[in-house]
Amino acid sequence: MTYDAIIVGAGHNGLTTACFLARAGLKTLVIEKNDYVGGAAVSRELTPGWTYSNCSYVCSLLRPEIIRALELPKFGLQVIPYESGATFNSKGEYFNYASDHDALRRELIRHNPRDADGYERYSRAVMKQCRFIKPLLLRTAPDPASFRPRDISELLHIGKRFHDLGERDMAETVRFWTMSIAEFLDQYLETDILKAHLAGSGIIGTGLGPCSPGTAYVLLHHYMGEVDGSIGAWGFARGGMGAITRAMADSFRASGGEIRAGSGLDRFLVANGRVTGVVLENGDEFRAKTVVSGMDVRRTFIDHTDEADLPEDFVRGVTRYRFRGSSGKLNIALDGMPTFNAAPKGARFLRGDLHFLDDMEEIERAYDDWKEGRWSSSPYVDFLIPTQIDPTMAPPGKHYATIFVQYAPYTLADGPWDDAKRAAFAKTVIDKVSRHSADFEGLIVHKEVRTPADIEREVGLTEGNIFQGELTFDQLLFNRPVPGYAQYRSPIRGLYMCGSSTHPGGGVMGAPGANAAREVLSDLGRRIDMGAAA
Amino acid sequence: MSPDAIVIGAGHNGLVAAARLGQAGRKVLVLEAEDRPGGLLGEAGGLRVAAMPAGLNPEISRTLALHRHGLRYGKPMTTIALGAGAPVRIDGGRVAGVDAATAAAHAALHRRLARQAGALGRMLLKTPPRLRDGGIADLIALGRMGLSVRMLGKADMRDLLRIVLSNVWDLLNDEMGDGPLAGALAMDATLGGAMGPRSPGTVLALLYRMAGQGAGAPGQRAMPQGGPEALIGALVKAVEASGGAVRTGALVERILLGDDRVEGVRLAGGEELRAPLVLSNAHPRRTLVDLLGVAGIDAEDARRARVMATEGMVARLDFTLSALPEVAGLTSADLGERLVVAPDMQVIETAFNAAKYRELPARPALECTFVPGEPPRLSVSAQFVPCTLKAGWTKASRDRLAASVLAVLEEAMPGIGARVTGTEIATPADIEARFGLPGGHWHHGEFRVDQMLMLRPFGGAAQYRMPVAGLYLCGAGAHPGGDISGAPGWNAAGQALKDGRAAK
Amino acid sequence: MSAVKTAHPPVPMGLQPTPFHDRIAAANHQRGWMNWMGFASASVLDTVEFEYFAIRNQATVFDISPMMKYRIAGPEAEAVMNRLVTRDIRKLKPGRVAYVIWCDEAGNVVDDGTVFRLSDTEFRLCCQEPQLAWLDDIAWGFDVTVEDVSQGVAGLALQGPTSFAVLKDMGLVGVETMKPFDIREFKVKAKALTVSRTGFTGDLGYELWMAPEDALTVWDYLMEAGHLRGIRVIGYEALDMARIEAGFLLPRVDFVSSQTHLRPGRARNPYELGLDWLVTLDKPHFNGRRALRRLALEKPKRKLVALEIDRDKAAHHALVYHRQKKEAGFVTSALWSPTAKRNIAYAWIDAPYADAGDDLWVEIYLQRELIWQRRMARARIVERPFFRNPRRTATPPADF
Repeated sequence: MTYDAIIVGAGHNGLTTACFLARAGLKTLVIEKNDYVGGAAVSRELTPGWTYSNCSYVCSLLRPEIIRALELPKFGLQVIPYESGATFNSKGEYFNYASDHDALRRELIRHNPRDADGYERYSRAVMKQCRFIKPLLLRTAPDPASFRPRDISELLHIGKRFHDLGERDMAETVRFWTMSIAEFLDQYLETDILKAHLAGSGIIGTGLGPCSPGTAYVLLHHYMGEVDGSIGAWGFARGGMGAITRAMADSFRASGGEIRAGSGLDRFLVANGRVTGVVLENGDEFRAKTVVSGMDVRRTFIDHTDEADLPEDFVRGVTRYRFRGSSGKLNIALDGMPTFNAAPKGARFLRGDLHFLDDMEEIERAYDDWKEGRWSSSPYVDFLIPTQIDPTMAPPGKHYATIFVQYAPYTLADGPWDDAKRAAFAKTVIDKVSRHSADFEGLIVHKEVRTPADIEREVGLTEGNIFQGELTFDQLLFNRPVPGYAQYRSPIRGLYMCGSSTHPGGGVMGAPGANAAREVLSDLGRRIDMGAAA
Repeated sequence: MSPDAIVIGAGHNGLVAAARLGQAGRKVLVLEAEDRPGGLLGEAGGLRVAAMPAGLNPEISRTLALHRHGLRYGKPMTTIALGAGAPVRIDGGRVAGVDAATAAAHAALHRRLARQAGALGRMLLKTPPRLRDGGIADLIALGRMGLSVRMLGKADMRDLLRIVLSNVWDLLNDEMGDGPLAGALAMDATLGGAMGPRSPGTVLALLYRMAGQGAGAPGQRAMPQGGPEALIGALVKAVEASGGAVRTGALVERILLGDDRVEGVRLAGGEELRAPLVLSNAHPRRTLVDLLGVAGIDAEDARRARVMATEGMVARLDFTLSALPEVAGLTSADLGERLVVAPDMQVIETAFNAAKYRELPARPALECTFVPGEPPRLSVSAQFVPCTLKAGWTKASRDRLAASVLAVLEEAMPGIGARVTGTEIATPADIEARFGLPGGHWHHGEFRVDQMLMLRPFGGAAQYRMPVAGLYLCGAGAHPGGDISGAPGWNAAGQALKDGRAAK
Repeated sequence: MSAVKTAHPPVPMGLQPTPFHDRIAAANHQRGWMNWMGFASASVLDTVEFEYFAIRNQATVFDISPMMKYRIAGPEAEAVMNRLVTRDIRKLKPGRVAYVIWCDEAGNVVDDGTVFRLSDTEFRLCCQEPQLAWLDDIAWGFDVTVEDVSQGVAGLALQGPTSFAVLKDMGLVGVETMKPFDIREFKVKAKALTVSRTGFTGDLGYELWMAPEDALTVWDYLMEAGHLRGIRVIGYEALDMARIEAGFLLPRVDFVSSQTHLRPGRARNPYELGLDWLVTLDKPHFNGRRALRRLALEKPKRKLVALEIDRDKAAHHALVYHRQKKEAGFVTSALWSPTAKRNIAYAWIDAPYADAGDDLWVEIYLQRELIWQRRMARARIVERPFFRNPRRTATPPADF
């Protein structure tokens, strides 16, 4: 069968590209190896009555431009903001990162009056950087080595924006892009529990510790989100993260697109340096002159492409591209709402993200464990109970807890993951939570434990890296995924990349998918329809 | 008669600056707190902080005619990496002691980095342009910087832009794998700084070191004939030959500020010396906060001077020996080369782990060399040893440091411990106290992207000009920074002269 | 996990009461509250016009407790204050107040406020925005302590022609000798009361400062004493009208602090703000001095000017045009001045049009029974303030 375009992988980026192509009138097919769509943005019922967002679990990065252009609200998507959040330390204290500005100021003053002012400075510094970066997300990164007018004008555009910051803020921007989150926070704040709370955003999903240069920028990646226009706010997709991809799939079908789930890609068909179609694992063959891969760059080109069809420098670049999964996840069905030792009665912040930390050093030491091939003995966890806000994910009175764990290595120093190790890993995490919640363990009715190896096996993310590759400078912007191939095109004509392995990278953002669609359509002499304001 | 210019500190950069000013006809007085010139290059308290200098920038040596004042460099030093197996000898791109494939991979990597370092090297002897609010000259300079990177060609430029902010751990693992050779290169990338091999930014530090061409080859060290004293001696002679004077035992206590202009300095003891131009070879923080005083600068600059990263992480230890040792695989001549004891990158990273938490590493990574004489000495730089130790620098911590260094040495050179007859230790905290050098940091501030080029020592103050008219920074805290190139002093004097001409 | 101690209760949500809240709430018939640094601050109590005219005709009370207050004390306190602000603080004697601005390194204004010199070595700084981090930076390296005392001091602005009479009736002996910007300590009902002859109305007025626990006692006594003098509690809106007439600028309304703006190029310097008179360049180094010396020689790129506008409709949020065509600036604060009977405004005008005599027009939008109309009204640049009554500075003040 012949299509205008085939998208490999029904993750959020693949579906985003697919929607834009279908809307531009291309006859588009999406293929998916699992028998459900969603990739890492899924809602799954693994125990009766509970819905797990069993990979990604919060939504902040999904670009509002994309939500609008694909009419996702019309197809059922609702993003609901969640409130505040808190960190508990081992002294039985808590810091509530209140979402209300005045309440947060009071909370900061409670801990340290100087940090109330320091925090204002810190958040303005972050906001300035967000304002600088945000417009770059939905643009294709220029190739600095190219002399094409388009690249030069894009470089000049970025240069001008940079220049407009003024000398002092330009210096601040360079510092921000290259500093460690620990040093950045130390410049503004004094209180350990507060810095520990904020530092997490700099290391989630990375193979870096809070003291590693470059982590301040990662923080930005997590701050960029917009829920109803407020920068930095996070939200839940009502019904779990699968609601996002479900809405995308429905939007896609409504534009005439077709999805085939249940059989993955075997290989791309290439003739004379040009892609001609795909062959699935079940033997089905489909033809198209445009094929877009939503898989990460290693699976796309090392696992499913004949090396002979690729230039040597590109293969080297892909081989070198670093994944290094560092995150694990526990999804837990709870028989009731757990209580937390240090939480005052009526604390609203239990609805937000909870962490159990003394200081940034604890995260750094957790990173050192990972570097040496062990899961962290005292891991950083991002603990949420979305069912306090989203009534659709568990029976009334019951709850669902998502526990994101940093760090867990893809390969352990003492051999591969096995059931015993997974159980020991889960115990480490549950013990950590239990130190702060006496009844937590007793409420567990079902749990799913996901190591980077599990994430790779099920979702297909190489080494379980949630961003389809590390967010270090050598893999950002024009370097992502491979210098010279950062504009969504691969060395094979007609074969494109749209996954998070491309600029601007991971998170359930959709920007790579939208950018890839724009490049595909421009090669076909068409324009992407970004909706009203574009 | 009062001089045209005062230089604070007779370190090599201060002397270079003084000589350049002298050549331009300015009457210069160099004030040195110690009783001998040389700064970190000189002997202080029984040891020399900068025991193994990189060579002075050749253009500076040439212009100051240092050969006429007796400066001769020996051949570039060979780096010998001591690990578990046979020693690995590294002479620039040439390596002996590893398998052929690794040697070839290293040679290719060395060529590639040397090319890229060359592009950076063109910026070393220039005042960095201002990012904004500068004039046409700054725009042209910015353009030139971009152009020298573009001139590398597409492939190298792309490669440079990819690796420039990445870590040396990944680069070396990609290109040749871990081991003593990688350990020695990672040592080059990290020594003197506060980053482990896995820290992004260490490739830039390596490139920067390779950009220095002092020994006639990228990044190699060279010992002047006659040792570091010979370099200092030649520089002092160059200063004197140009009509300048070096006064030792003169501790500057204060930079005197008139109505927004520098007016001279006050020495400990109260003597005031007047000059319309003052160049400070001191650390930027010491210059602005201690010598000029925060009252004379804006709070933002005071804050930048205060928060700049400058935690020194190298301790110096000198062991006096009963006799030079026999080391398997090394000739007696080899003992005077640069010996690196960092069997692989993992060892360096593990040492860094402890330092992150302000603790002593169990196994420091070492750079050392034997100094002949009576008695002979083994001079060691140990990293990572933090300046601000959590437990404090007690006698117990010092003993632990010495013991850990000796234990590492013993593995690399069995029997060395038995020959040790005496130990001198200079922790970063000692270096800080002795030289008024915040953090005891060799390079007067960490070498990182955000403290380089137009951001060294910090944005808005990177053109050697300090906030007060007539005051310039000429030490390693200014672009292009540390090692013993003399470039900051050279550039600062050039900038001061240029500003002086413009004012006329 | 150590034994569970009682968890700290959550910090309160919503607008918080000031020490005077109970009394003001009782008088707040409109139940109109605004957020001032997280505190409930009355906007209008009954009728804004009557409240405004009380400022110009009687005595009015406005709660200024939410204002930020910092104590700067120590052997080098004077040096720190002189480093902070652009005026020469060495000339400020103990017992005196000065209106000040302070600038960043680029010469842009961080904030404005009042400095109270309480003694040789102790100052209090009152301002709108939190400044602790800034003060810490300024004070770093000096022998001085900086603390936020905002919650430790309750304050009332007592403003209007009969304000002196009210204080006299309260038994404040010697208050008649207080000159503008004087500070004096008194005792009323055995409570310590600090009075400064300061205010933001351009009229006779005082500010009263006390411990929060004494607040209600002082309030009740003040109301009792003021009863015969027409004392009236007012809200923010009336005060803002007086503030515009009196020529005072408001951060976040008329200009943005150089520390809080996010967009490049939004910061403003004293020359643009028309506050040159607050800058003393020939004192020892202070923050921003080098930049200000340069700026003093340049022509400002834009200016905050006072406008008098034809027609009678206040020009809120209006754009300003040169010759009715070229956009030349915009209005920040606007008011039909009930006392001066003039249509007044502050506006930012780009440099080429910021000189008196330029042909400037203000675009005013009017809604008349749901129909919007656009009117161009001629505007003239005039001198600030729009209102200043000699009774403001008369010493002793008249006993009305």
